[in-house]
Amino acid sequence: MKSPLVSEVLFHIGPVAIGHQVAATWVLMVALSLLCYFGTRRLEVEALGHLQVLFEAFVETVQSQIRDTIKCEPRRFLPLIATLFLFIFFANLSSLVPGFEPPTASIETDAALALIVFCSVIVEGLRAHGLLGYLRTFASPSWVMIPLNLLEQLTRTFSLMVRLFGNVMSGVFVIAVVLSLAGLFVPIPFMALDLLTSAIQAYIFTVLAMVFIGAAVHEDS
Amino acid sequence: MTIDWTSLALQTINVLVLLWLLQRFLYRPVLAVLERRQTEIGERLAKAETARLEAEAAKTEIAAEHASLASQREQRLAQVQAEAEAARAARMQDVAVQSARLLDEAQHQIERERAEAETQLREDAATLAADFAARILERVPAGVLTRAYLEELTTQKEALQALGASELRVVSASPLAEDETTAIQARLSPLLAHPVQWRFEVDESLIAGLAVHADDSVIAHSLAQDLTQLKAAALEHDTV
Repeated sequence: MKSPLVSEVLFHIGPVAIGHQVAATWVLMVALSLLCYFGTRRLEVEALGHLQVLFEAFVETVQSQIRDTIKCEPRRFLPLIATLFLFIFFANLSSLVPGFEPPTASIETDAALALIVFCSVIVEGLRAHGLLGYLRTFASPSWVMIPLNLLEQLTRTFSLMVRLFGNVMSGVFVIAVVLSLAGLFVPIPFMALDLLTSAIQAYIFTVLAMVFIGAAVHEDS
Repeated sequence: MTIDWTSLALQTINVLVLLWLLQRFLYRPVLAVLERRQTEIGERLAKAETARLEAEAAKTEIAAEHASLASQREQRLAQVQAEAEAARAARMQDVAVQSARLLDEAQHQIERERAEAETQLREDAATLAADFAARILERVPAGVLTRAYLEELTTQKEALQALGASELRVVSASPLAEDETTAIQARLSPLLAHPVQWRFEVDESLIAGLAVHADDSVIAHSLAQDLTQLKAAALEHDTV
């Protein structure tokens, strides 16, 4: 069994080494894009299809969550938040496909997601308060808190990454261990549990991202 | 544990690309259809509101029309009542006029009948008085009455001289005795213009008295004539 902490290179494109997580992400990207492309080609105002109902319910649910958590118009944050959820959810679910290693079980993928959230928090903070206003939020409630606030920014991003990585990787690792020790059908309960964990982790990551962005936008309040 | 920075960068790019792809193929179309549906719902709500307002306006109009009809009905009812009252008053007036006319006619009829009855009573009374007088005079001797009427006849000298007939008929109420005829001829002959033939006749309707008949003229003095004149005078006197 290979170590989950080691990135395995599948092939090279020129000088760039392509790891399995990158390739899996591409597969997921293509699958999701095709699903969305064919699912949204014939959207109707009335006489909705099952897939359209699913898409609309998802979009409206995410908008509702954004409205409740960030307390602002959800249209601007919908693409980021919904993409994070969809990618993490389907990436986690991909562990159920035999021979497919979920991209979120790789620290690089989780780090990339956390990095995007981190940058989004800064961009939205600057956008909401301006440069000085945003910097001033680090001195809240007093300037003594500046180092701690800076550290908090880093640690909570790091915690996002580690939480997702730890949960997904541990799930994959446990299933692999049980599969190697007990046989073909024994890991099924663990896989069902992993299904639930996948959804929960996607939800937690998304909600935390919304909380961080909301905190940056409404820092002074 | 090591982090493959190349993979991290690629994954970051991948997630951003996925974000763009989903924005293009999922969020934008779904949001567009949601907005379109929202717009259509808004339009339908606006149409429904417009229809509701139109219905309210129609309802108000119908209520106003209903009130107008009720007012017109009240006016028409009052007009009909006034017309009926006027017709009743006119009818009452007609009835009063007709009643007055009938009453007047009845009074006139009563008056006329009363006058007729009075006239009849007078005639009856005059007739009765004439009968009484005739009966009383019947007790007088006929010769006396004949002589009395002969004297009256002699007062008609001009009339007797105007008689040109050659024969005179002397009519009496009862047959005359010879001395009476002689006396009559003796009293009347001097009063005539020329000599005549005498003929004596009887007519009981005279009751008493004499009537001298020439060809076409009569000189009469009789009790019947006197009673007739007396009766006429009595009636004329009562009428006056």
